[in-house]
Amino acid sequence: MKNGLFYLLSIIVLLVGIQACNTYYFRSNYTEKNTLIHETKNLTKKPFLKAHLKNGTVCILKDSWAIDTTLNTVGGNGTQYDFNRQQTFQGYINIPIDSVAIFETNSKIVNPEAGRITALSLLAGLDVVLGLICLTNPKACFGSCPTFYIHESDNFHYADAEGFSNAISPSMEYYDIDALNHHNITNNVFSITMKNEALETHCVKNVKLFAFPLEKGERVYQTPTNDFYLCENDYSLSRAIANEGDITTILKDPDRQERFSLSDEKNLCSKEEIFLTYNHVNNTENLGLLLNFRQTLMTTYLFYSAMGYMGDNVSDVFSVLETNEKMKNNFDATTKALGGIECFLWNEKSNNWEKQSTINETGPIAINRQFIPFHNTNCNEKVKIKLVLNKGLWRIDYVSLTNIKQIVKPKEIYPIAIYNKGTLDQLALVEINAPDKYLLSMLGSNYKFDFILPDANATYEFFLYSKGYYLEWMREHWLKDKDLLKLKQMVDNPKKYLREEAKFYKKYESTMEEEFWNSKVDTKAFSYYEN
Amino acid sequence: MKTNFALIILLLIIFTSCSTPGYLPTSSGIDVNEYGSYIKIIQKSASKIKGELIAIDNNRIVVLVEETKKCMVISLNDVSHFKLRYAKPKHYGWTIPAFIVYPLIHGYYSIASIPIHLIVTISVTVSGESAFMYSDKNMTFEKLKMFARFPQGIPPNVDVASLK
Repeated sequence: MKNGLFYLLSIIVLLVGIQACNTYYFRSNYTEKNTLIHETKNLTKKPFLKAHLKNGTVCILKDSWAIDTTLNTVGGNGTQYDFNRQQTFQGYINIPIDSVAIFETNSKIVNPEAGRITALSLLAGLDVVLGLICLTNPKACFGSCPTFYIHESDNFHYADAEGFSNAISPSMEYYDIDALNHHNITNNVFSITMKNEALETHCVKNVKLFAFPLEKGERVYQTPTNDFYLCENDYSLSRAIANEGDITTILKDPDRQERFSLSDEKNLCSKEEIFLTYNHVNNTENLGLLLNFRQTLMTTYLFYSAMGYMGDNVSDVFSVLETNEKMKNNFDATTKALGGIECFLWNEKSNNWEKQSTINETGPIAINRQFIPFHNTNCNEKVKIKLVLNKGLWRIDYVSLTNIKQIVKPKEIYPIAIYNKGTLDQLALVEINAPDKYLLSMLGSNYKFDFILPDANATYEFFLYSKGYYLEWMREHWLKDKDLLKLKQMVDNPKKYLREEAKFYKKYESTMEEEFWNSKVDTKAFSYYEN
Repeated sequence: MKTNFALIILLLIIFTSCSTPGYLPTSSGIDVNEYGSYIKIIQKSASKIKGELIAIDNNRIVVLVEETKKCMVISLNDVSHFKLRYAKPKHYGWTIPAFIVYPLIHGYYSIASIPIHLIVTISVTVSGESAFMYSDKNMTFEKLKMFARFPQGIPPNVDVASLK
């Protein structure tokens, strides 16, 4: 944050400083001809000479003027004006010096606009560079889906949730539940802000809060199927091994230090394994694995590529998506081929990895927290887990083992007030709470939702429910990428597409991730890690 | 509220900047201008006047007033403040709306690029408008003489009332 602010201020100071250099200009007057001769004799090019005559006439001589000290005159080509500045003569003028009250020379100001033009040119250069970065790597500059913030002033790096990332057309509308973490409530109002930070139209049908009051040591976690488990105990990770070696310290704490790998250069659909070990698990009954994770920009790349392949046929393709169920189901075939994070538990008796479940949540911005309850737990106090995931697709922040107490049902709470950029918006409230209406949110929109909780001074586990869909805005520069055959391949033969696209993505991946995360703010306390 | 205030200021800058008199030279024609510079004088005992600076002597300043097209003589003791413009400024007000379009393609980075664009273009506009200007803060009456139509003072044969 400090670095970002420093660079921002440096650029501003540089650009403002460049153009702020003033050119001061003073006229030079001479009452004595000798002074005039002396002051101008060393000039390689004579300046214009203005001779103010005693009668108020002024003669402006061009740079060919000369002083005749014998005749005591000054002569040259120029223009003569009377005291009302009406032109009275133009041509060679010979002026008796005795009739002159004051001589005036004026040097031209050299490039008086240079500083300002330089500043604007540098600004334009900055625009071109940043514009090229964003045009060539749009995924690094533009987000997607509505983003939700508990702290309104947070930027997208600290989004607490992102809603319905896969709902890219009306028929694909679905609801999404995201864990918001547990919070102590001092009064009974809880607020969350929804922002549209992308070139998209968000059609939001519902936003509501799921809340569950916690006792000390308890947490509620959500499964991929949106069941909620009340849990206790938190077993710390003993060892984590991936292809690159020991990654225990990266996964041990929810500190946003994320483990991720780069994609396979020969095939985007390529799996890898992570092995987790928990020693000293006192209670091996009713265990479950908690994961904090999000995606890399791979799925965003694939989605934007698909939009590009549509080119100027985008509306035709979306029309087919809306009306053809088969096409709709296959549209995200590449994402389905990449798969989720599969979780396996080691069975000591059968000496075998047993699959437990798969976690899959689209979105590269907000960190998700999901829970996999284990079945057929058959292990001693040493628990071994294997995660199978696609290379280059997932960022994992934290893994933890916990004991399940029971399945619970959080209370559903509807918003009681919505503020549109600080102003109470009754219509928005009606739209968000009505089953058949949508709240439309455009780029730059900012809606704050207020929820009333049953008890003040309590600790709640919160989840955010959002339902709707969004429409991606077509970008002009995507039109040149039109390739309907590629689009067809994505849908009909996703595995082949992912193999062929691997080398292109590889070039993009190295710069994209760097650009995206270089702007990461690294000193902020984590919104999901509070309390 | 802050945004509205800034917009009003900007519009004022842009619109007021268009009102420079026609006799002022451009920066390239500064050396051959036959007229005096444009001056605005705030008087201690009367209202503000503005027009062409005709002449200054030890006690008084003569201005060809813009509105009345007649010369007005003011005692130097009665001058509270003055501002002098000796060339037409270049107007950069257009850069504010023109350059603000660029951050639209900067995505997340527009968080930083929008303020940079606003600060730089507003600063360039303001500095462009205030170029070729002096005021009583950086100019004495003695130096001010040089910017008059008659730096030598009113010629004895010239009737001030006949100046135009």
